[in-house]
Amino acid sequence: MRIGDRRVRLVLAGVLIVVIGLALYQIGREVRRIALRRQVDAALAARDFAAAELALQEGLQAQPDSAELKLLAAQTARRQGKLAEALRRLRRCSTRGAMAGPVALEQRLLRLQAGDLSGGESLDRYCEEFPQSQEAALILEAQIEGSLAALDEKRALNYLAQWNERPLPPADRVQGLLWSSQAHQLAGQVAAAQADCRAAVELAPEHREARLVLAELLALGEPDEAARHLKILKERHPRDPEILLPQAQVLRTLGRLDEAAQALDELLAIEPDHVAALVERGLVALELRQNDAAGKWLHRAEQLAPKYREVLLAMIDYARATGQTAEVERYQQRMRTIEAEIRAQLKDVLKKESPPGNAPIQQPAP
Amino acid sequence: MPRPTLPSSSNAPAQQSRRWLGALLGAAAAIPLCLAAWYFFQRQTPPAPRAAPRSADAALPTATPAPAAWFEDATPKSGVSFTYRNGEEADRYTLLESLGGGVGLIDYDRDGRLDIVLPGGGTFDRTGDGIHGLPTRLFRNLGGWKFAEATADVGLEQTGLYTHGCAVADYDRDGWPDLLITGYGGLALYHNVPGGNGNRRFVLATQQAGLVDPLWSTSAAWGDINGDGHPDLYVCHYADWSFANDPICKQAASPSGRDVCPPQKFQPQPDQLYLNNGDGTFRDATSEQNIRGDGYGLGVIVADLDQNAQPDIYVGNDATANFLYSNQDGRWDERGAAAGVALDDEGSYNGSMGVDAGDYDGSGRPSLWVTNFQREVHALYTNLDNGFYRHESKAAGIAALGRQFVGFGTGFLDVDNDGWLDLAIANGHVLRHPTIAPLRQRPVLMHNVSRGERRFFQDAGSRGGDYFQLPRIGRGLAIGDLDNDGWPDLVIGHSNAPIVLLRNAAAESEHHWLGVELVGKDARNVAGSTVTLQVGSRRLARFVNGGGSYLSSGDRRLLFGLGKDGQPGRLSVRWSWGETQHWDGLQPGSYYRLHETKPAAERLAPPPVVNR
Repeated sequence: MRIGDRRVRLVLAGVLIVVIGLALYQIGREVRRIALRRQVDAALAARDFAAAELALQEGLQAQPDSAELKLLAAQTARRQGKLAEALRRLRRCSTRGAMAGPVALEQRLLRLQAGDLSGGESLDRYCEEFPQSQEAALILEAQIEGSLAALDEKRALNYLAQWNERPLPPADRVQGLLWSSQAHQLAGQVAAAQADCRAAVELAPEHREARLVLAELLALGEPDEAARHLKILKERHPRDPEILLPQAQVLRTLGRLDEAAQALDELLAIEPDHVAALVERGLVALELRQNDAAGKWLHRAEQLAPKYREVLLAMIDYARATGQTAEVERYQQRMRTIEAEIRAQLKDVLKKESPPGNAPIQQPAP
Repeated sequence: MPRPTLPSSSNAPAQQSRRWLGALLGAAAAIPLCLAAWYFFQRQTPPAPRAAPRSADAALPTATPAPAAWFEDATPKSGVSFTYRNGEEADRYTLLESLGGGVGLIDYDRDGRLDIVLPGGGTFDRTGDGIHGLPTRLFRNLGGWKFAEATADVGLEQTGLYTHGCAVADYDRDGWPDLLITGYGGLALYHNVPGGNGNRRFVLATQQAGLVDPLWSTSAAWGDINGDGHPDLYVCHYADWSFANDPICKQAASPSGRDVCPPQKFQPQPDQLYLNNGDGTFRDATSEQNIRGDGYGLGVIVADLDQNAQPDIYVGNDATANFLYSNQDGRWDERGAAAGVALDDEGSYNGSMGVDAGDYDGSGRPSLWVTNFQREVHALYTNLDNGFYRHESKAAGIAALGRQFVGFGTGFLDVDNDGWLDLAIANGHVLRHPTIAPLRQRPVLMHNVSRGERRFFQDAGSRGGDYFQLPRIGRGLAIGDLDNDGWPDLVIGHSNAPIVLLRNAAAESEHHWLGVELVGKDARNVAGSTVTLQVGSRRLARFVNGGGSYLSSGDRRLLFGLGKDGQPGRLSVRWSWGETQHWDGLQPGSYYRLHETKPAAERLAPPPVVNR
């Protein structure tokens, strides 16, 4: 077999083409994997969990058995607050070999984030030992979220202080401010909560949640300013029900009834069975003295959520506006019944949750 | 703890890939590398956030320059020097000191000018249970915005009761207005009697009248609620606080670590209804009239709310539902919840303080107005004319004020005489070291304007003058025409800060007015009467109310703003006992006395200024 033989050359060329083709295929696969991974990392660094989810889905389609990607998907779901989904994904993760440790940690962080604050000391020690590690950031994040879920604002603020000591990318700084705002809200410090959100909006004017939370915090005390923030949000997210509803509510608070009605109509065009929007639309109609229209919106809301307190309140309002004395009494009676049910349920819950140590202390016999 | 490896931080796979890639790249041509690089950069997501567009925030509207002020502070040259003392300097942090004091307007000498009566408050011992009342003071109106203190001259120099409020009515129908002072542990009924040399003085008549009330009384309202012609009395009571029942309420923001407790720490004390026997005495009709005992009563108004010519009673309660006692032939039916005036629009009770009733929307019906605590909206309950009300604070622009105010004294008044009722509110916190809303809060003036076919209240603080720009601890507020110029003035009290007299300076505008004073036969009490005046195509309705505001008593005369071109047409009075009379030919720019027994209205000349 000589190299100069034409057939041999053809075979060799064929082999080379195949090798190059295979190499190209492998390179393409690997480059794609790296690209997806970088996309995921960039999205996570920017706390853009939706984008991270998309990239992860694509990655898992290409590598359905990747233990690393599965775990990352579970972690991403948890960090978004989708705890049930995180648990579901975590159950699919292998707990053998090199993944055992990371999966165990993720399970622990999931419990922590759900508000189970027990046994967090070893995690604290880890954060002390490796304060700048990525794991420490994830642990702190879960500690803060868990503290907030457990309504322990002091604990949350304590971990936030550690969080803020880290060199944080802008997205994490914004998130820290939003957590701080939540903690201050829990402490009843509305002004501090607003200040946190203002700082977050200053840092990231495009941040939807920061501006939305700020608008919601301002809605009661400074509805004018809230309306301005919601207007900005609406311009950027014109069909977002989570913006349209508070915008309508704030506009109603300001007495700008026609604009409130318009925002609600837009929302109801997107989600015709949005109960809160139907109630709000009915109330706006009542205020515009459009009782017939109000009845239409409110009866629809009642059909969808007959036991919803706000629906009943609005129905009482409607019955008063239309002079239906018997209906006022009927809805008030229903309201009383529902409130009694809620009180009874609450009593049961408290009774079940009350530890035996809370039993009244018996006076010692003389 | 061993350091776990998390996928997000793992560099190992990337390093492996690079080695493998290097080997392949060595074997393969440069083209695939270029292709890969192209592919790689095509798929990269730009991580850098977009630059922050500042234009949206920068485009926020800016404030417009303030126009001429409606009110000017007339206190400095008036001769009225008074500060309500609540005793907080003893640092006892009592619930008692949180309420403050009211303002009373009373023409006690019937010289045609409203005099000012001011409950003095009190002090506490730093230790022990001592509560010491300060005297109620009276400033006689000399005209021309000059006042002279007449406390001792009229016999009000006694001390004893730690005082809060006042209510004015001619309880014995002798034609002279009498005075009721409320406070901690008692009432003080002062009978207006001749004082020699044509003067008048007050003598204490509490015991003789049977108004022995050991509870903590706040606001009170007079009105002939059983239709016998004699003014009856509704007294609000607050809570069962005493030094024997004085828990410590912690407050981290306070230097002492404590602050005034909320009323919920105490039991509410039941309000009382006293019916006038017609012989100078009263009897307690609280139980026979089903007066509820579960409210922390702070504000009360007597008005014919359902327009059935029978005065009703509305009570603003702190931290509990408000009460509406609907008068059905002298029997009382508490129907606040059913009528829609007990709770707010979220179905929650509020911390209610001041109350008033007025026709703000031109409907001819009295709507109810209530000032509330922080994190709540002051409540405007629009009268729907079917026995029901609707909480319309949002639609009417009240909610736009926000929820940072703790509102007290208040009332409807037509500041600019445009024929539409505006609102004034005194604000200020009850805590000494509040954290949610400030201790001192700006007073609020809301102008009633048109918005399409609706009426809408716009914050008009900038037009109110300097007084409305500064934060204060406001409490009592009385509305009255102190200089008889047809433009409503204000007297506003503050806790531990001087009283302020605000002269309505909007009189320079071209708007006209008409004032009326109703006089029933044999000095019959007229609270609950409705006066309507035809002005062009509009029919203005004003109501003679008993009580109102917070711990205060205002001018019982009625003012009609006529606007620029308005001419008064037929004026109709539906007396609180159901009869209706009409008067025609009234001229703008004057007060008229409308006497039940006289077909002709008596035009009142402005009283002369007293030189003193």
